[in-house]
Amino acid sequence: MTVASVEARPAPTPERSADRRRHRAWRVLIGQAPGARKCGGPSDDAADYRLFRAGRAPFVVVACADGASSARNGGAGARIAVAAAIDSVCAAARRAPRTPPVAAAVIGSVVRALGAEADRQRVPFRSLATTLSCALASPRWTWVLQVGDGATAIRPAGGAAWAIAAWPERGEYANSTHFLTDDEVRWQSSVGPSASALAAITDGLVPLALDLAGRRAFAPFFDGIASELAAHEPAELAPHLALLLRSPRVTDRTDDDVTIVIAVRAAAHRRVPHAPA
Amino acid sequence: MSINLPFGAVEFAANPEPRCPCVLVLDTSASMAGTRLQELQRGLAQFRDELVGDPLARKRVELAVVTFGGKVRLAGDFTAVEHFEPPRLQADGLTPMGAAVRTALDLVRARKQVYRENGIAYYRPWVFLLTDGEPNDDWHEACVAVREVEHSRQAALFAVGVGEANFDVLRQVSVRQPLQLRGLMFREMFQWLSNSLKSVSRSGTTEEVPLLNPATPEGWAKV
Repeated sequence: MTVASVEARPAPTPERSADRRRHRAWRVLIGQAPGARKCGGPSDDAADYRLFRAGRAPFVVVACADGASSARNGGAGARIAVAAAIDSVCAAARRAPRTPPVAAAVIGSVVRALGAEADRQRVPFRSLATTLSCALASPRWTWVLQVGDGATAIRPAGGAAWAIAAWPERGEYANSTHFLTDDEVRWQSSVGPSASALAAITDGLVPLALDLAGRRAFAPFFDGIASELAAHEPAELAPHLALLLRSPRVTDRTDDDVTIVIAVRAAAHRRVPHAPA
Repeated sequence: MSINLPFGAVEFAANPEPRCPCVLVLDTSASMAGTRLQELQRGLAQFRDELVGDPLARKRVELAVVTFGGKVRLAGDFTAVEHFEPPRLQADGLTPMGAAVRTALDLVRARKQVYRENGIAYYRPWVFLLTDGEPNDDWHEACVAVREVEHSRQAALFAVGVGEANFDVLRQVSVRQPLQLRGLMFREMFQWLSNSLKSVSRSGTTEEVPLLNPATPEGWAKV
């Protein structure tokens, strides 16, 4: 019997590709767990981030994606969408650090990357169906791009309240949404003030992280994670986030894959050692 | 998890579960009297038990029952499976199937409105029609209404004929191929329905729900 793997990745280095311009202005933590309905199979979610400099200023981009499990290669689609979105956003910011990326151009790059993968693997384009939630923070503004039913939340600098920058977009029914492989990609994108924290989640976490009737972020969820991340190194926290995501508190509420990638501005962080358990 | 550990104190939003509404539209005309109705009644009880036994379906599936025998009755308005009591069925009168189907579609429309007003997510409603005869009322209006809701994906209607049911009519009422119940395999039929509802009620946004083919040689239906 396979035991469901749970993954929560800390930042091993501020940027995976060796980049001399890396920085430590943000702390980023990824938490993922495959849903119980996968019966031990792999998660079809993907998540990643990148810390980089553009015009000497520190930027962070976070992204997560939920590959359609009804599509044969949804998990691959999710990984490609996340990687392509981060590359595209990062390149755009380096070209023009003062201006937020053009959403249509990023969507175009991601769709082309999915198309190239479909050609390479000789599989139908739609078999790579996936959603995407992506957020980029510059020192001056925050930019968000989303396709489908994940969510993207921002805590504006100087404010305490989390705001949902991209709300899950669904069809009428709880089990219908939009994908990057649709004929016409339905995306939402916005630019807001500079952020002190940002998070992207896939739909498995939506009922636990958003107040759906009130149409707002459920602050205790985001604050609970962000406050720990502000105080501790991601590497210390990763196993604990993994434990939380596979605990009955989560699995009793959802049997879908769950993913969160969350970043907090680290400028004022203090090291607070953990009390032993 | 201890709250001394990181994230031990993280709280989660308490959103209502998404709902999976299903209306049973049951023929209780005089021709159903006897073994047919008894078997249907047993099947209903088992249907409830199966759904109650499933942790997610129990919270998510909502059932309503419309009967048509002599006249159309709302034998049970939408209720969560855990509170669902199978109505006592009594055979009587003719077969006003057209009106029963329209009543079911109205119920579904009203229920969706309640969900929307309360910010509750929901799955595509199912209308499950069961008859052993042919309608004695004007059923053409019901055909138009069914086509409309199927076309706009507002609901899905499944039709099952028992015994001498008029399949020419059922084929016109239902967009999907109507199924013929093998003998009196009501329990197997409800088993299939509860399994299907369990699958739908746990499907995520990125899934299509494959339904088991009930018309296999061992299945409860013939096409």
